[in-house]
Amino acid sequence: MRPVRKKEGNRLTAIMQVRNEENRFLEKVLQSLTDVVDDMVIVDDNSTDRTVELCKSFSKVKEVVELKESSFHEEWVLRSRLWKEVCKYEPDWILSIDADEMFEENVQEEIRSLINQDQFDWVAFRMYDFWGSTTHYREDEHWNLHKRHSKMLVRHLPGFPYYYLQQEHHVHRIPFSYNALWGSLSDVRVKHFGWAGSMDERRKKYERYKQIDPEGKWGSLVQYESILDPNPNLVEWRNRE
Amino acid sequence: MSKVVHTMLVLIQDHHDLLMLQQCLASLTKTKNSFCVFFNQGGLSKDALHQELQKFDLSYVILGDGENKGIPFARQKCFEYIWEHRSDCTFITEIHPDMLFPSNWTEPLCKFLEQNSKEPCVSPGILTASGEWHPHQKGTSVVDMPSVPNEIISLLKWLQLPKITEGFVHPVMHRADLLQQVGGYDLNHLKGKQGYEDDYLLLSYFRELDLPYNWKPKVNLQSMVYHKTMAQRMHFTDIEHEANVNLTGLIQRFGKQAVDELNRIHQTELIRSKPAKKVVVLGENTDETCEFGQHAVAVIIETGEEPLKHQGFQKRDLHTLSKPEITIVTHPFWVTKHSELKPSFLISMLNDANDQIPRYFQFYKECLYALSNVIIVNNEEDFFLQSLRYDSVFFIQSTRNPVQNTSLYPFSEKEELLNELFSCYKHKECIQHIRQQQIHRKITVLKRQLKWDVHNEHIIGTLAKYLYLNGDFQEAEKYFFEAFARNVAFQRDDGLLKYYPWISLSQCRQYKLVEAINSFGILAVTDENKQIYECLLNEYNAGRFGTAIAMLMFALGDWLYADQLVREDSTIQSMDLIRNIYLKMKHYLKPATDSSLSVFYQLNHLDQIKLKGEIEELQGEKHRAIHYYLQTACIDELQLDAVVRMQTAESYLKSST
Repeated sequence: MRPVRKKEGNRLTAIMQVRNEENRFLEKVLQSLTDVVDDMVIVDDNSTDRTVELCKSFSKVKEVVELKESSFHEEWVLRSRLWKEVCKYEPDWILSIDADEMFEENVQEEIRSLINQDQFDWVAFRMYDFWGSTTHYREDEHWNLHKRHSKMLVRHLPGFPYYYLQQEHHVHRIPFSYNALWGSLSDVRVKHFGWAGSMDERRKKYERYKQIDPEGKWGSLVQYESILDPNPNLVEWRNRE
Repeated sequence: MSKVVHTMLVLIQDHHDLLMLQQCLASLTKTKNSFCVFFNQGGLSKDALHQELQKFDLSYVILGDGENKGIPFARQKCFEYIWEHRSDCTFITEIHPDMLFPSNWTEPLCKFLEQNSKEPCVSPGILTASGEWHPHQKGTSVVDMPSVPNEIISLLKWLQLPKITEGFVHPVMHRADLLQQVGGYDLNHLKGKQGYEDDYLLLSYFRELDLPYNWKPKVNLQSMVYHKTMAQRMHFTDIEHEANVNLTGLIQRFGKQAVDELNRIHQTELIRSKPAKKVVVLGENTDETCEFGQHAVAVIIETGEEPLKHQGFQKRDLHTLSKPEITIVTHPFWVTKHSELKPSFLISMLNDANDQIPRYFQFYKECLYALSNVIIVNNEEDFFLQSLRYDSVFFIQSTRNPVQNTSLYPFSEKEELLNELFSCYKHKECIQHIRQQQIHRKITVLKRQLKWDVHNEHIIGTLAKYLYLNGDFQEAEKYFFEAFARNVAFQRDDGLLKYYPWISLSQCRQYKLVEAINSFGILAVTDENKQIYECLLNEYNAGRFGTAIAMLMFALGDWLYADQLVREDSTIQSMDLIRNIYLKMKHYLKPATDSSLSVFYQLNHLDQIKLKGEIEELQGEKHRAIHYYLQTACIDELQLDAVVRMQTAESYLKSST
C-alpha cells in the first residue's frame, strides 16, 4: 500500500477536454505540456476535425477518449467523465488544463516542487486572459481573473469523493469537494488564449454564449456584452526575470 | 360506528361446542356497541353459522369458507377485514367461543389503553373452569365454580380488582392502530396452524414499537372474563409440528435472542420490582430537570449555598453514610471521595456547566468516566465522543418536558432513565438494551426528519453517528459521505475534520482496511497524524492487519473497539499501542488482571510510581498518593503538579460540604 501523499517521485497527469481544436492553440499547448507533465488523458467531445489525430501524435498522451455524442451542452458531465477517466490510472497529481491555456515559460521545476510535498493537496494559479494577441492581456472590471487564483492542480486522493456542480456551462475544472482540503496559492502564471484571436472569432464566441445562455444563468450577461467592447483595457505581458 | 371490534374463530366439532358458542354469544350481547368478525373454521356451513348468529342481538360479519387453515391465518384475515372495512374502530379484541363475558367488560380495558398510550394491548383477568384466576393466581383453585352461566358472570363481577398486573392471557384487546402498525400475524413466518402466534405478536410489539427493555404486557383486573380453556384444539394431530413451524418462523424474524426476550416478557417476577434502596448523590444537583427518580430514598451531599430544593433528599455528612447501592456523581472532583462509599454502581452525571472549571477538571473527569458503570451526558457531541470510549453512555437533554404528558407519567427524560437504571442496574445487558433503544429511537426520529429536510447536514451527520453506534457501519459510512458533501456544497469548509475521522472508522469496522487507511491518510496533515499514518502503512504492508485496525481505531477515538481487539487478537503485539490504550482508558484504576498487570510492569519507573499515586488518590488514600507523587517529583519536578491538583480538589470539596 502506498501513501496518499508523497514528498518525492510524484507523477503528474494533465487532463484536457477538447473539441475541434485543430486550428487553434492545441498543438502549442500540448507541446508546452510535454515539458511539464508526465502524461496526459484527453476527452474529445466529438470533434469533426483532426483534433484526435493531433492529440495522439504526442507521445505523452496516454489516452484520448473519443465521445461519439457531444456533451458540450452538459459541461459537468464532460468534466466528470474526464475526472473518472484519469482516476483509473491512479495518478499522483492531476493538472486540469484547457486546450487554450499554457503555463508561462520555464516553470517545470517550480511545478515539481509544488507537487513533491505532503502539506497541501491543491494549487491555484493566476490566469491571464490574452486579448486579440498573445502579447497583451485584458484587465478591467469584467476581465480580472488574474487578480485571484484558480485551482488547476490537485493531488489525486484515493477514495476521496468528487462532485461537480451540475451546471451546463462554466463548470469549475476541479471537483468542488477539493474545497475541503488544504491548498496553496502559487505565483506561477497561466496564459489563457481563448480570447487571443481576431475580433471575428470573439464575436462568434459572444454569439455562442448568448445562444446557450441567453438569460445569464451560468455566467454574467454584462460580461458577455463586454466581449464586444471596441476599446478594452489591455496590458502588455512581461516575462518574469 | 363501533369503538371495539371483536374477532372470534368458530370451529364447531360437536353439540358441546355449539352450546358453548351460544352461551358465549348470549353473554356478549350484554356488551354494547360492539361489532363481531367471525371466522368460520369448520363444523357448520356459512349459512348454518349465520342462522345461529341471527339468534343473538349482534352486528357481525362472517369470513372463512369452513376450512381450518390455522389460527394465525384466520385471525389475520379478521384483522385485515377490520383494517379495510372498519378502519374507524379504536380497539380490536381476540375472543373465543369458550368464554363468558360480563356486561361492558371492555370498558376498563379501553380506559386503560386510552390512558396509557404506549401500551399496545391489555387483557382482562380470567377465571378458568377449575376456579383459577389468571394470571395473578394461576395454579391455585380459589373459588368453587358455579355451573350456570349467569352465576359465573355474577361471580366475575365480584372478583374484579382495582389493580393492573403484568401478564398475558386471552381474551386480549389490541390498540387497532398499533396492531396494524406491526402488521398483526405475518403469515410468511407463521405458516403453522397454531402455536407461538401470541408470542409472535408480543415480540412484534416489543421490537417494532421500541418498547422499554422491561416492558411486559398488562392485565387490568378491573375486568374479569370466564375462559373455560377447554383446549379445544389440543387433540389435533401434528400440533407439535405446527407449533415448531411457527417457532422457526418466529426465530427467523426475530433471531435467537427472541427466546430470551420472550422468557423475560413472560417472567412474572419483575426485575423492576426491586428498585435501588439507597442512592447517594455526590455533588451539587444543578439540574432542575431531574429529581433522581421515584423509587430511591436518596441522600444528597450538596455543594454551594443554595438550600435543597428537592423533596426527599437529606443533606448528610459523607462519613455518616453506610454503603449505598448506587452513587451518582455530578462533579468530577467528587470521584476522589466515591471510593469511601464503595457503591455497587456508579453513575456519572456531569453538567456542561462544570466545564467552567478547566484546571484539573479533565483528569478527574477521565478518572470518573473510567470508573463509572453508566455515564449520562447532556451534550450530544460529548455523547458521541464518550460512546466511543466507554460502555453505557447515555445522552439526555436537560428539558423539563415529561416523556408522556399524562398524570400517570410525570417524569422528565432524565428521571425516566434514572428510574429505569435504578430498576435494573444489576443487569448489564438490561442497561445495554435501554441504551440500544435510545439509539433506535434517535435513528427513527432522525430518518423521519430527514425526509422533510433532505439537505440538512446536521441531521445527516447526526444520523450517521447514531448508525455507527448502532453497528450499522455501511449505512453510517454512506451518510457520513452525504454529510460531507452537504458541508462542501454549503461551503462550510470544516467537513474534512468533522466527517473524515468517522468515515475512516466506519470503513475500518467494515474491514475495508485499505479505504480506511487511505481516509486516515487524507486526514493526516499534522505531524502527529503523519507519524501514526506511517505506522499504519508499515503495519499494513507487513501484513499485521489486526494491529493496523486497532491502531487506527484508537487514533480516531474508538478506544472501546481498539481495546476489545487488543484483548481478543493475540497477533496484536505492539507494546506502544497496548500501553497507550491502557493509559488512556485508565485500566490501572480498575481491578487488576493478569494482562493489565503485565502492561503496568512494562511501564518505565516514573510512570509506574505516578500511576500508583493516582490509584491511591482515587481510593481516597491521600497521604499515600502524596508520597508517590513526591517520588515522581524527584525524577521530574513537573510531576509536583499532581500534588497541587489534589489540593485544589480537596479545597473545593471542603468548601462544598
